[in-house]
Amino acid sequence: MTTVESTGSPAGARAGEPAAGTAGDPLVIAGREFRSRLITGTGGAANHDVLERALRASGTELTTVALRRVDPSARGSLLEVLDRVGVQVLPNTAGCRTAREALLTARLGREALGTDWVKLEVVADEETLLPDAVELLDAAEQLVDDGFTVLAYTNDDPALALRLERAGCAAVMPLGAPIGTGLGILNPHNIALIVQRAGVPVVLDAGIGTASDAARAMELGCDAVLLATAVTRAQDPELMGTAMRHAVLAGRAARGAGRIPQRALAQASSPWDGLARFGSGSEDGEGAA
Amino acid sequence: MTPGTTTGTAGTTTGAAGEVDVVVNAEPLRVPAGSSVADVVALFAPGAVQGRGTAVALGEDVVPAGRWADTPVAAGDRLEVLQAVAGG
Repeated sequence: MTTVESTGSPAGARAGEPAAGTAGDPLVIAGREFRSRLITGTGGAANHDVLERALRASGTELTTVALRRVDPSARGSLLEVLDRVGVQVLPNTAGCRTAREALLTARLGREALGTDWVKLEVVADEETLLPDAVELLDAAEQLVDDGFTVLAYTNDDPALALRLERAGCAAVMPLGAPIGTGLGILNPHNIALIVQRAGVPVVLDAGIGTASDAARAMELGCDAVLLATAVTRAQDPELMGTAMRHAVLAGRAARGAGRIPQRALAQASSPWDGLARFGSGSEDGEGAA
Repeated sequence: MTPGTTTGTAGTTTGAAGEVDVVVNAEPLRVPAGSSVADVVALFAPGAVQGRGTAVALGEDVVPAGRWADTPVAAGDRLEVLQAVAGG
C-alpha cells in the first residue's frame, strides 16, 4: 500500500461516477441526499441578516443549531431565517459533558425541531472542547437505540471513528483541529486513515480556518465539511461562504481526478526533443533546462 | 419585576392564594396551583410559541410538544424551557 494521501483513491469519487459537484454526485447520509457537501453551523454571526447572506452564499443544505434556555427578550427567530434559506436543521448537543446530558439535550432537540437527526457532541472540557471519547461512545449507543440518526463529532482517532460506526452512527465527523481555532487539519494522516476505513460518510468537522483547509479535507477523501466560525467570523462572511462553496467543490473534484504522485525532483513538462542549441553550444553537450 | 415572580427561594409549600413555587430556567416563579406546563411557559416566556423551536424538560423528563397543556406542575418542580439558537 502506498501512502494514504499521496494520490486520489477509490475511496473518494470512483471511476465512472458523475463529476464532482454535479447533481449526480450527492452526499448521502442515512438515505437522505444533499447536493451540497458543505454543512454549516450558525454560531458566531453578528446578526441574522449576516448569517442569512453567508448561508445562501455557501450553498449549504444542512445547518446546525444549539438548544439554550429561552430568552424572553430575544427578537427574531433563527428558525425563520433557516426556513427562508431552505436548509435542513440539525440540532446539536453542544456544551454537553456527559452522555446523560447529551441524551436529554438530543431528546429536547427532537421535540423542538421535529427531527430525529442529531449532531452528537460531548466535550471533555471548555478549554479544548475536545470530545470525551468514553462519554461520546456511550451517548452514541444510547441515541442509536432510541432511534436517532446520529452524526458524531469525534476526535481524529481512527479507532474511535470505527467504534462509532459500529455503534450505528450515520456519519462520523472527526475534527481537523479544536473548535473555533482555525488551525486547519492538524493530522491529515489520521483523517485519511479514517476515510480509508469508514463505511459511513466522513465529515471533517471543526478547525477549518480558510478555503484551502476545506479543499484539503475533501482531497483527503472526506465526504463533506462542517464549519461555522471560519465563515461567520470572517471579515466578510458572505464572501467566505462563497469561497467555502468553491473550495469543497474543488477539493471533491481533485480527489476524484486523482492527483499526481509527489516527487523529490523536477520532471519537465516541456519535451527535451527538438531543443535548440544556440551559438557555439555543442549538439550533444549538456543542454540548458 | 415580572408578575408572578417571587424573590424568595422556590420552596415546596403552597402559597396562601393557591399558588405554588416552581423553578424555570433556574429562576423562581410563583404560578397558580393546578398550572400546566403550557401555563408556566406562557407566564415565563410569553413569546415562546408552543411547538417548533421550543422544548421543555420537567425534571429529567422531556415533555412532548403535544402534552404541555395536560402536564401539571407541582410545587418545587424544576423546568427547563429551551429554544433553538445559533450555534455549532
